[in-house]
Amino acid sequence: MPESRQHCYVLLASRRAVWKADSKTNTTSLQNQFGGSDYFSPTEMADGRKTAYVKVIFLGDQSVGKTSLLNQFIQKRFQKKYKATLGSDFFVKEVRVGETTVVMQIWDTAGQERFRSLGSSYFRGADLCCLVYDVTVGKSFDDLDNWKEEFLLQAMPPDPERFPFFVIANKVDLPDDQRMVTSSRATEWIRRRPNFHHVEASAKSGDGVDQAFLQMATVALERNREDRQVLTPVQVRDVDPPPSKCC
Amino acid sequence: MMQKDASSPPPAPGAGANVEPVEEDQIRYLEQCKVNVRQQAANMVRAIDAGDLEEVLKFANLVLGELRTSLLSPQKYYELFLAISTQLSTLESFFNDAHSKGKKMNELYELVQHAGNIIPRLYLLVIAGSIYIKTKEAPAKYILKDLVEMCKGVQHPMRGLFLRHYLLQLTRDKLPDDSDQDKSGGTVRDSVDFVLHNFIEMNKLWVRMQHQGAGRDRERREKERGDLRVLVGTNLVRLSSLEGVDEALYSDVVLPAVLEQVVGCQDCIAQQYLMEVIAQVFPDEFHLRTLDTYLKTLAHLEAKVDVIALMVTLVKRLAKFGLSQRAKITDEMRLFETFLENIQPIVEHRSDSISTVQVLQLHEALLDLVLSVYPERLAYIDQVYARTSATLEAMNVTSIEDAASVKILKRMIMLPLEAPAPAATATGAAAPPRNTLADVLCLEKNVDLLRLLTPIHKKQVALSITRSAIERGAPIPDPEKIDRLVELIRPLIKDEPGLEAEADEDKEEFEENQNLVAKLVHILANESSDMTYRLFYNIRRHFGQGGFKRVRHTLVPLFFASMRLCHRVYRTEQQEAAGEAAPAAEPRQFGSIKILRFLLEIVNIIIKAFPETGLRLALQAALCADNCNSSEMAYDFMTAALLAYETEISESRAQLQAMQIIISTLQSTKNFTEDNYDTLAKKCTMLSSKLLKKPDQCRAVVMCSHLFWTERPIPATPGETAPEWHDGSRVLECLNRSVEIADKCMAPNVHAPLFIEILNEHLFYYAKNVPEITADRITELVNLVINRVSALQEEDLPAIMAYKQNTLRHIRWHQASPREPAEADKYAAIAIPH
Ligand SMILES: Nc1nc2c(ncn2[C@@H]2O[C@H](COP(=O)(O)OP(=O)(O)OP(=O)(O)O)[C@@H](O)[C@H]2O)c(=O)[nH]1
Ligand SMILES: [Mg+2]
Repeated sequence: MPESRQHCYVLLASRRAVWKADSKTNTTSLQNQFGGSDYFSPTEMADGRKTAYVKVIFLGDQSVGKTSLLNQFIQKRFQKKYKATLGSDFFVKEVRVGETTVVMQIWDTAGQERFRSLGSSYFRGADLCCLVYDVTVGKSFDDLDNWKEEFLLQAMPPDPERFPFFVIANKVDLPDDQRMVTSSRATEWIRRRPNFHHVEASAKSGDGVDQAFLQMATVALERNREDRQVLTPVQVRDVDPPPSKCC
Repeated sequence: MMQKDASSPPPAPGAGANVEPVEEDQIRYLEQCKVNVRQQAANMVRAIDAGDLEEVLKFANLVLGELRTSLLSPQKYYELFLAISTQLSTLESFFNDAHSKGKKMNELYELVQHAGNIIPRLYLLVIAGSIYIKTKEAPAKYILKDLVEMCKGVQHPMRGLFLRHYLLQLTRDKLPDDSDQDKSGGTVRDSVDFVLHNFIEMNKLWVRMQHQGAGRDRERREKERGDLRVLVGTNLVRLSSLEGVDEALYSDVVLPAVLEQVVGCQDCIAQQYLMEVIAQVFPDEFHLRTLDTYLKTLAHLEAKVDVIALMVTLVKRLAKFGLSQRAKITDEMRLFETFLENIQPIVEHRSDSISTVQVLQLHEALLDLVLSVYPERLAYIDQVYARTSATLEAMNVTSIEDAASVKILKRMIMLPLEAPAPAATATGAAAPPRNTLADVLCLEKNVDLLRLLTPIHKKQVALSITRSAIERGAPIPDPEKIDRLVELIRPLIKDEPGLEAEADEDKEEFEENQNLVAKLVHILANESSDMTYRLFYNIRRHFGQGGFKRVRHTLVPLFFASMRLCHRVYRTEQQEAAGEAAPAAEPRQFGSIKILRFLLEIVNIIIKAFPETGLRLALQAALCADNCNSSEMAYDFMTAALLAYETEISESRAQLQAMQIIISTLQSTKNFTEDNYDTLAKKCTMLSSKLLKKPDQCRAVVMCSHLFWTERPIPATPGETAPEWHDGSRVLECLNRSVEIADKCMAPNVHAPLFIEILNEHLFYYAKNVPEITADRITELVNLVINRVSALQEEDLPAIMAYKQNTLRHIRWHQASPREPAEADKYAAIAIPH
């Protein structure tokens, strides 16, 4: 498990380093790291380390534990009290994947449809979508396909059939007799979907949580790198005009 | 209600207000905005790299200037907002950097306010303010207060809402909270005040949207408001995520302030949404504490607000909570009572706008709550039922027929009988104990709800209840419960007015249903035979009212169950008498005789409806009574069977069959007194000789002869061994009578076989050494048979010939190979002509 620092401001510092790197190498396009359909590639640091920015969207039914997983990952805390999420909210945290520092921008969303009124434009530009279900609620597993469809519809990745999804089976701390979705059923389901990854976790005990996020970072980073290659021609259209107007 | 707006919104660049461009124009416009944003952001970054603060602010202004537009719908504006706010994160770190290089934050905070336009200016102020808080150059609380005040500068609803949303977003991790080490920035109270203030301002902006623009745009406006609502609601999320907001602070400060705004704004959309958000974003523990306040507030909401939906949301939430954390809900919380008390006035007050289905939804949720939180309090269930029917009655609802309502009503009646769904228990601890069938039968008010259903739906409920009762198989502890059960499933037990129309319901379905009802008998059997008897007795009363078509299905199984009970009781009686079993602690009330009498009652009812079945049951019961050493009851059953035979069975084949089983039953009894047996046997012989057809008479009378030569022991008088029942003269009498009858049959192909049969009977008795059956008599019969067979027509011959030959061969075989010397003489005495 690589070290992972916890507060957001690390991000700001590293971004600063990015601008420096950019200006040094005279890159004209300064991409917004997470924004819109702009992709950002890992950047070589002065000291040889790389930093990459990835965007992850969390989706899943009401009360499956999306917010709890994020809280466990970022603050190492768990709350038994249920507080519904409204709209969407993002958190930032960085993890190390090999030589690369991956800055993850993670969007938590509301599981309840009527609490998501402003649309899902922030799905665009995501590198990974994380679908969460509650192993004690069969319906939350059954709904995964709907969430996947909804994501693809809004995020519009150029290669939907290859877009990586990460499935978290949450609440595995609860006793077996309450479990409604068995591991084997989930594994079978995942097996039929090559672009899906699957882990079991408990936001309550913390089991599997760090590993899950680390794996997500790895998958997202890979996607991010691939994008750069695959999507370069597409990206050209999006590139900013030459900085002639600039002073 | 029109809010006054002192500061008019800033003019939108390049567009007349309130003209919504078509979708494609919006997309194009948004793309243009985003291109501009990227361009200016790039410039801004270059300025940042150059360290030129003034230039940085200039370009930041240009980036933010795009947010002044009025051309975008909320969703598109949000997209723009997201694009811009991500770009601005570089500005945050620039300010941060500037601070670390020695720039004073208060100067920066002043400097950003020089921006010309209010929108960019306030966004910049928010960024500077958030960094200002972070650097701790001034206490957070003052900066927060200033920011939330300054944002009043934007009074255009949508732009104002997003600006304040941004404020909320940037300050999210900077709000003073109880867990802070350093308290210099302020306390959680300051944060609460800040968010509440922001919430109130945002809600005002949001509500004001409703009153702007032309009336014809209302639909569009409401759609836009719907899209924007989440921005207002986020304030409440923020409040709920503050750690320092505990139950006390919530109930004393937060909730009252929020509710005051919600009620005060007098806006239907806001009230509906915000009340729901309150219920959803704050934890259950808080709601438990403030339930009364929340519910009382509902009474003050606008008439068009769907308060029922709000109550249902809250009740459902707490029901779910109760399933997993029942222990946390104490009696002092008066959860159930509080709901009941508050629901009543609200529903009454709004009775003209509330529909039946709403009333049902609400009470259904309440029932779910009771079953998950107070699974053992049956009285609560009845209270919910009583409330439901009273409310509906007050609304003059006398019958419920629409599908949605019927579905809920059925579920409400069935709910206590059903196990909690596994999914519902998934959230936490073990499932609540299941009510037993007996518990459910203690309920009284479910009938009042049942009454509202149409006959056909009543019947469906009755079936569900019956199935569930059988599935549970729980013992029923007292006879009165049977009455309650029957009340619930009445349409299956007897004809009801209203169902006659479909009385010709599918015969198969009817039988299936009745067989289901009959299975109820099986769940009655009980440890205590007395109780079982009383339960049987009670259910018999009800089954008895079912009319002929039902008793066949219901009373027959009850008959057999009672017979089993009778055997069981008799066995115990025997064991007790023999000292093998200790007598029951409580003296037995209902002995085997009593149960036999009960059987007789059942038999008599069945005989009336279905004589043939009844007759057979009477005979079964006769054997049972005989086995239980109750010859009197056995006699009564035989008499009942004979009476049924005489009065109810008229078809000749049925008569013969009935007579045959009556005779064989009588023959297998063991305990009749001589007198009784004699009476019955004579009666059988008499009835046999009166059968409709001669051959039948003949055969039955032959059969009767066996009644007088049996292995049946006559009841032993003490000290004597029981003799067998051997009365040769009566045997002879029967056989003579049968010959007479056979002789009266004219057709040779009819009487020939009869004679052969009679000959065979003679041979049987001859073998048994019945003195009255002599060799001469047999010789005479043999001649008669040969004589009659020879008169037969060609086509009848083979079978009868074979029969005759076999019989004669049998005699010859005895003559040829006697097993003992005496037998040789005995069979030699029979002369067979060649
Ligand atoms: N036992 C157990 N409970 C959990 C776990 N994760 C979450 N919970 C509980 O499940 C409830 C819902 O958790 P949230 O994280 O708020 O769920 P969510 O997916 O964010 O829900 P929405 O915001 O409504 O979409 C809370 O009461 C949590 O305490 C877990 O791993 N184990
Ligand atoms: Mg959540």
